[in-house]
Amino acid sequence: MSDLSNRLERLRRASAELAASGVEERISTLVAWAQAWCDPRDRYREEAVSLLPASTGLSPAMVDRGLSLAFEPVEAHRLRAWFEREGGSRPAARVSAHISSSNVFVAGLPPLVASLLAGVPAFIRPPQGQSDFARILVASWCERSLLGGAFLDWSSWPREDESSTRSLLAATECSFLFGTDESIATLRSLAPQGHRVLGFGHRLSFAAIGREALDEQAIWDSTWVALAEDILAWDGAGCLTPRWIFVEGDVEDAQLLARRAAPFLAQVAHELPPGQSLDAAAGSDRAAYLATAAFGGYSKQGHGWAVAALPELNLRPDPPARTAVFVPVPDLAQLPSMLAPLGDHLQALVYVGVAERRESLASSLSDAGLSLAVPAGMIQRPPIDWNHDGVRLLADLY
Amino acid sequence: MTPMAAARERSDSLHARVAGVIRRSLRDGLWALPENDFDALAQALFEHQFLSCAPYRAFCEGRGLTPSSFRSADDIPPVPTEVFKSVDLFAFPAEDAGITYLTSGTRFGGRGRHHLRDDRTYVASMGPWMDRLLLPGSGTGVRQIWVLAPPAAMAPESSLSHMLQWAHDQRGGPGSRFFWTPEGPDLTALGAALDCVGPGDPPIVLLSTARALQAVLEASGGPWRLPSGSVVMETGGPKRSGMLFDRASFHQALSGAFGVPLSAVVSEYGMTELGSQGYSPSFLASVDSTAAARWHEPPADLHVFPPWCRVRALSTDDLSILPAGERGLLCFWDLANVDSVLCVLTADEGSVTEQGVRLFGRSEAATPRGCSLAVEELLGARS
Repeated sequence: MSDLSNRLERLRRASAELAASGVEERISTLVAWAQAWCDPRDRYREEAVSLLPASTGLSPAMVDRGLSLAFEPVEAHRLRAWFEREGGSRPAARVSAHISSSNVFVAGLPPLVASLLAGVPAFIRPPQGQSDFARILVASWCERSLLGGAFLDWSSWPREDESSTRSLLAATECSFLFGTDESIATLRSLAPQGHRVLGFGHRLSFAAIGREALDEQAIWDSTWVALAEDILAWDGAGCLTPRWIFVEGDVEDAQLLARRAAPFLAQVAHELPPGQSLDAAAGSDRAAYLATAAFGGYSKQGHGWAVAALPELNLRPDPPARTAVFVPVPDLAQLPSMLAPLGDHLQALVYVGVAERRESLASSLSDAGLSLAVPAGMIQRPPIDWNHDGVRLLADLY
Repeated sequence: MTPMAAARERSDSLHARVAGVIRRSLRDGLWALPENDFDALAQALFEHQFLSCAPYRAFCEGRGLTPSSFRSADDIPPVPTEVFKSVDLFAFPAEDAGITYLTSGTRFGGRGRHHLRDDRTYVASMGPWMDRLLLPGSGTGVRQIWVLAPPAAMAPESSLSHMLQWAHDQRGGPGSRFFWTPEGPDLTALGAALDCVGPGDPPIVLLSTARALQAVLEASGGPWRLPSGSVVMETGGPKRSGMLFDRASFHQALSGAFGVPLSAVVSEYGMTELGSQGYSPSFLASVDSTAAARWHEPPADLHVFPPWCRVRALSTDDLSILPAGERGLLCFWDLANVDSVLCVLTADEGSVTEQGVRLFGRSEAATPRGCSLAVEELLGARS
């Protein structure tokens, strides 16, 4: 039996022990583990901040921020309510698989937490070339788990090694997959009958500023900072990064807000610098996008940030990363039709304005896949119990 | 005087000034203009373009530059070539447009447009520089100009065809011809002509796109041996190949296929949006001892531009000018662009030294992994 098979078998043997532990015990363990990760002086966190920039291409500041964004939502009251709402006595899965090709290294944390909360040991296969976080995460769990035992493990192998992937899927009852629609389809084809594949594929997010907030005085500096953090996080990667900021107004409104946002983008870009320089193609595309925007409206750029105001929505070309793109729309009620070409690939919305309109807009976009609507500054720290992409992270384990 | 009349007068004056600079720099054998001279003419061109092209004026004002704040050509905000696809940039009355060159197409579709009143400065820049780098030696009519590209009549919107037609008409002797049909390169006729070439024939200057020459290499026939003094010029490269073009290997293959020394394989770098072109100096260095001292065994990707066309590499992150030798996006301050925009940013990566411009081509940006799919790919997947 291979090393992978042995390790999967150990997890399966341990699953009864984990499932038999009390949910409060599991909650305490998860919260203590997450709180340790939130401590800037924690040695595992320090190791992650030291190593991950090289493999992820993110700056140390972004890695550090990303760890906080991921672990801070792991709170006892939230986990308790989640379990009461979606948990059960006997999960259907004995072991869960977690396979990621995501460029956001913490994207897989919520389903991992869900699995351990349900009492289901988990096996992680990280993205190729990015095994550091999985290794450190598992090591921190093994050392700090109040439950004892090893209920978390990981290994890495080339994507081309389908045999190992089949072994993983065969030894688990469900898998959480982060990747492209194509990679998820491939993994589905490798899964045995009865194995439950829970995939998180192509998604896009955006922001909107309601007419009620257009008065300059109604948008506080802190909101601009928060919006800038939303835009710059993960160097623009990830499905939660707003691609466009729709301004309920006219072209002048969009340009005015773009000019207002520029200094805040510059300020936050200084605190969260880009991890890597742009390659020639990305730099050229960015220059072309911003210049085209400038000819039609407004743009401004600095090191690691840019803003643009377009006269109208152009879905092509793609907005550059780390760029706040303001687009006027006379009435936000038009957004569902404007975004219809994207199908059901919407993910989340940042709304600047009154909460009632946020909820109303989110409801109108739910059929397009939208599952999260939050104020500025919250999109990159979704709740740990956020269900999305048609997947119920905890309930689907039962 | 009406604004249109003033624009015409400025334009005519600047065409004459640029022509004068071209003549003097060639007469004096310059490889670069004195910085003050370049900046002075750049300032005049910038002011003309700022005053006479409304979209460009708004763009420059947005970037914080006006004629009154001009300090040096370095301050002029570069216009990416992509913009030529969506904005008409010309500093003369629309009815004066005599020529519109179109690009061959971009990654996102559509064609860039470069409008000229006429081709006087284009030819004044193109001709002498071609003579100096590609056709050194005495007189006209002593060579056969063979062109593996469409003649101007077949592609009136192509600046490359215009250039190659000029070479054929103005520098080609008996036997000069085009090898092109409406369906594309006439490889059969070219092969037949090459099979008939003898060592006593006049030198052949074969002008072609790189793609057409690739087709020649892949077709049956050859190798051949062109007469002594022959030159093979290639321009462009594989489009959207996703891989950097190995120009050195390509030149080796051409040298072997056509039986010319490697130094006689010359690369030309130009584009629709620029009035000037650059050439690799290998052939000039092989026939001119002064040039040989300046360029000893130059790499295949090195190009030399005329003194009236300044080139810099810009940072991909913030478009600042990089120190000599550092890789970045190539940006051109082309004084031959009298009536469009003087400062053009390309999508090509390269580096610049006193020796010239090294062109590294354009690599495709890596696709983001995981769930943050590019909108472009999402829309493509759904269509």
